[in-house]
Amino acid sequence: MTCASNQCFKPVRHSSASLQCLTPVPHSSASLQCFTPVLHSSASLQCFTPVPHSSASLQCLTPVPHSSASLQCLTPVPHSSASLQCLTPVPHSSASLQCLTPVPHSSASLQCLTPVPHSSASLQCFTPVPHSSASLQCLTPVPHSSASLQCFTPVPHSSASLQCLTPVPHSSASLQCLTPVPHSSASLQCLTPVPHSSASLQCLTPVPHSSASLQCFTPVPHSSASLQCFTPVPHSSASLQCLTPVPHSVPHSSASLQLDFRLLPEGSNYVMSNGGGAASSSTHLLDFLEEPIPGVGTYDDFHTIDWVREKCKDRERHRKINSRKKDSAWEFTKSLYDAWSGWLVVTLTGLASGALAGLIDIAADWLNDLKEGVCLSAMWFNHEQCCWTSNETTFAERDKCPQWKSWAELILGQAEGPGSYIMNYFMYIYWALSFAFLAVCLVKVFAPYACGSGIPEIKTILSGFIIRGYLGKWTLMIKTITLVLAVASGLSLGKEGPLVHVACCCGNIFSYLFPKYSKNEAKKREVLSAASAAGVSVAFGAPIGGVLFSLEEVSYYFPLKTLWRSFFAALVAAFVLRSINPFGNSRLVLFYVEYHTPWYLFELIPFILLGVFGGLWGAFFIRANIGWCRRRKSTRLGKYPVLEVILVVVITAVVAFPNPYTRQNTSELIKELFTDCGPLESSQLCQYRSHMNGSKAFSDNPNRPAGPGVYAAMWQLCLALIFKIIMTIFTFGLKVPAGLFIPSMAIGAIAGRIVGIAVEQLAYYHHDWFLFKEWCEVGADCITPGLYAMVGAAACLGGVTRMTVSLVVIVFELTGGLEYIVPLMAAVMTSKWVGDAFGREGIYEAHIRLNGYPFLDAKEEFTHTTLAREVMRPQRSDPPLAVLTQDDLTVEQLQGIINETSYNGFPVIVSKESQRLVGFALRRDITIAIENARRKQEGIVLDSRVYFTQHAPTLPADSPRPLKLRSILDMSPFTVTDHTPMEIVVDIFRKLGLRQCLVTHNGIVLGIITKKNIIEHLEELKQHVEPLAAAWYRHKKRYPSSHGANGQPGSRVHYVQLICSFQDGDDKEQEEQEEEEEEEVCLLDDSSL
Amino acid sequence: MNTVCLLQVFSVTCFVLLSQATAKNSEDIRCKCICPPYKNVTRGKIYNQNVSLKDCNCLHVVVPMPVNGNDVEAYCLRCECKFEERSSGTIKFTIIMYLSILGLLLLYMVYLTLLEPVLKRRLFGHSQLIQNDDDVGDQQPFANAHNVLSRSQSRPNMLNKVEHAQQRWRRQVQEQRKSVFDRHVVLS
Repeated sequence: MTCASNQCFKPVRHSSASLQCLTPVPHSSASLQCFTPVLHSSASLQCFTPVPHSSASLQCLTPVPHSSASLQCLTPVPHSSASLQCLTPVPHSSASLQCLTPVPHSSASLQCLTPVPHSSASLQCFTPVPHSSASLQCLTPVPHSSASLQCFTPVPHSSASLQCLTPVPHSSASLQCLTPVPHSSASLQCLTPVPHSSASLQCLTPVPHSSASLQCFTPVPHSSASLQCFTPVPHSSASLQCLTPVPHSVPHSSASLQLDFRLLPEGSNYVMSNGGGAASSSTHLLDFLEEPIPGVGTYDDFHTIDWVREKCKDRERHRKINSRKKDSAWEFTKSLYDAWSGWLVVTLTGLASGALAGLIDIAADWLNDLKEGVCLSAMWFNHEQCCWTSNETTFAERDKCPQWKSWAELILGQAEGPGSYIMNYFMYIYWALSFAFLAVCLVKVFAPYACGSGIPEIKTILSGFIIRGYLGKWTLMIKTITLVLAVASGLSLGKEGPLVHVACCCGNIFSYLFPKYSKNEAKKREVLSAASAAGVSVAFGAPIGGVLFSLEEVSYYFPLKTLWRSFFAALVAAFVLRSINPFGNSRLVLFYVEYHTPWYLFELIPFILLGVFGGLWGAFFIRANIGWCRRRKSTRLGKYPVLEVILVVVITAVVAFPNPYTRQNTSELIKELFTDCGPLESSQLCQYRSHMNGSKAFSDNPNRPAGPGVYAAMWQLCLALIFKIIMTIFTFGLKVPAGLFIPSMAIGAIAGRIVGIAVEQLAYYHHDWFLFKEWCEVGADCITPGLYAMVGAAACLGGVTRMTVSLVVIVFELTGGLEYIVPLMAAVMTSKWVGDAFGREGIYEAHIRLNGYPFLDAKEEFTHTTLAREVMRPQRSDPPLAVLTQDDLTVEQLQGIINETSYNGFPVIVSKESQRLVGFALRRDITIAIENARRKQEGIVLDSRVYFTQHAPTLPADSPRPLKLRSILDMSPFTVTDHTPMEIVVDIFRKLGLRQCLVTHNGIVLGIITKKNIIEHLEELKQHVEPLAAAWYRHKKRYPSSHGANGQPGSRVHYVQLICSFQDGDDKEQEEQEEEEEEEVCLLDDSSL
Repeated sequence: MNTVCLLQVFSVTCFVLLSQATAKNSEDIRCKCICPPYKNVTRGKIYNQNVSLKDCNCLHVVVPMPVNGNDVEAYCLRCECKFEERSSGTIKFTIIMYLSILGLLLLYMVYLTLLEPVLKRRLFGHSQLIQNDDDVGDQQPFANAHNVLSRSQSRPNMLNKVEHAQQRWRRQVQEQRKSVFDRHVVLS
């Protein structure tokens, strides 16, 4: 009858009281009573009484937070009892009772009376002998407390009960029983009357006559109770009683009773609950109660999405909605809404992009005319609208009406004369300069992402890249506003590419209204594909061309469903723009033309020549523009974007004004060039000599000799051509919204018109030639110069962008005549062939490569014979791969690995010894999960063990609570073996849209291949074959700013940076190697612990 | 969710305004006839008349007729008449809206670039400015996670929210500016 008692009255913090009993004689009792009223104290009682009938009790009366009490009993003899009573009334306390009593008739009870939040109580029993009982009573009346009781009693007649009386939300109670022997009973009673509580009872009792009951009295929504039984043998009973007083009418409450009768051998229960690696849904079943961590599954800026994962996520969501569909009318409505949301979002996108395109058209026209003058009667009208009803009847005076005043008229009071010319010249430059200056300032201050064309970036985004803010509200607004300014300033740029960007912004913004699209990056890209179709549709008034553009040029993943939605979006957008009627001509574009004259076979020769010109121009433009952009990117030139814009616009305005063909709006120029010379035309281009001899000339409308007006126009057009070519090279890439379509088309149209007139005159003067004799009789009109202009425009555009089908369809929709498909096809194909001979990539791909975006072009073929082993990282000379082990890392070590490396994901392996692959965990998910656990879970400290397995590893008794990270583990990472040919790997990456792929050998992880590695590899191979392709010298000595102040790589810009950094020389690589080495040392140290 | 509501209210207002502005105006239709030179009429002429669609032909629009008698029919055959319709309300609404948005943006830009630094310096002195600079450089991986979590959790009141959103937007723009203008990693 020994007794040991220890009474503490220490009133000061950080004290600890411990009582260790090693009394080997029965009937002893040990009690520890603490009255420490101050924080951070801990009391522990460890008993090693090996003889029966002993009792150990620990009573804590610590009324202050952050105290912990633990009682560990190792009494191996029956009839012992251990009780732990906690009366800690303040938060953040934890009480744990671990019993390892191997003999029957022992009882362990833990009573918690902690009335304040964030406390946790756990009771773990390992009583292997029958007739033992474990009970955990919680009376925690405040939220965020958790109580768990884990029983591992393998012998019958044991009972485990968990009673929770937590009346406040966000509490969770779980009871896990693994009692494999009959006649055991487990009961969980919850009386949680407030929402957001969850109760789960998991039974894995494989033997009959066991009973499991879960009683819930949760009367409010959002609570969930689940009872999962895997009892494969009869005579067992499982009951789930829910007394939710508003059953099924209030959303989000769920009670599930799942009985799984799959008979599995003992010991393999873990395997089954792991999901077996086959279907991810079964994992989620068991992880059901693990509260999803906010932010997990999202992506960082400048990272690549994992298409496979996103598609899986969507399918699972879809399955969930479908399975709930029949439950209630509400769920059915929700499923309908979900099914329709795709069409809704594209409709909204179409509406918005159509309306914005109308706004841009109207405002750009008005602002463009503001450079010349102003409408006095109504200042919001442009020149054309101002003189809407004026009756100035002659051709010469058609542009003059009393309401419209040029600046010279307003300021000087005279419309004619050198003074007014100079005044108009000055005002033209002044307005152009101020528009461009405003545009670049707005872009710089509010939304730098609004500059440029946007199509290269959208292509990259659609292929699965994340650029945060690129499709945001501010970008949309600034791009819309500044696009008008940029177009009106007279720079050599168009609004078509930016319109695609604007439409994509609309698509992105509207997709936030629908959870189906806002939460899933892959689904969002389907909307963006449709949006880009709508953008082209309004830019050219070509809905079908828009869909084909989206398919051919920008989209990466384009299933049939997206095709239909793109078509619908394009239709809606075109309809809206048509009903706005921005040009007043009932057309969607200014340069809509209609031809009715036929073309002759011999004309294919000039058409093909135009194609050659287009191809040459495209190749030259891409070279020159990329060279200039590279210079801008790498030299000091890039430091002065505003100055550069001002310079370019001043030069443009000064040179453009004297020439009437460059002074006017580029769209108008194209219109004039496209339009055929009919009797109704009055422009200089149509001043043929037959004009002179009166009215007779028009009756039979033959090819006529050119008059002096035409020759003058030729000179002006040639000058305009040179001017446009030079200015476009320097304009594309300025920090204002700038599209490429219109200037390219203008150049092609000018060249085409010149060729057309030349051929026409040739036919007139040499109508006895073999070619012309066949088709062109004297006096017949067989050459249409406007058609040449159009073919030239298509050829030049094709040479620059390397589009084929969509381009032909766009131009065909512009003219509305199927007749000219063959000339267009001939010219476009020729220009593509010629262009491809000089360099395979179009301007957009070239810009993508210049910026180093991770874009894996689906059009390029991979013809080399390398193996996955040669591409994977780490290479032979590199330090070994950074991996995580599944259950022997601590939080601190994990944080260390994350802080010291810059990798975006880590393979998880079984252990350092076996190296077998378990799964893959993303860096972002790990950081979020750790941070989340620190906030929400109690007892997670730096020493806490991190485990990715289903069940916690066996830990030493005094270790802190482990952290389970299974929910963020991707258990089905894509793997290839080390001997897989790269051909196949590249194909897998392209077709599945993978982000990374693990390389294994006999199930052992060897390395990893990321998208970035593949792009580097392709680049390397390309340089071996054609060294002229891309000089990477620009990266030398640059990008120090991508690293933070302390030399740590900034996480934000990594994806882009790393691509560059590979080529970039030794210093940085060395730095990275050092980092990796350090981390390796840490890892090894840890594993030896 | 709030932004969504605002967006909806805004679009509804726009729609109402637009539908009011686009109410039919009799000035908005015209018939435009372009007539080429003919015999003793040496110059081509353009006629605009405010007539309805069914009256849009040479006979109704071309007044006074430059030729007489038998030639009228021949002259009119050469003329090309097009009925055109515009919506002056839409144009007016669009231009005014565009100009007002542009004006607001310019004011805000002037405020952000010129006035605010001065005001801040006067109100808070130098310490605030330095602190702001420190915030921007915060790029540690765990700080990032911190941001993500706090975004999903905190529910402050309206004013704080606006303030917070503005701060976040500013930081984003600064980041964008850095990557576009300084580092040239995107859009160059």
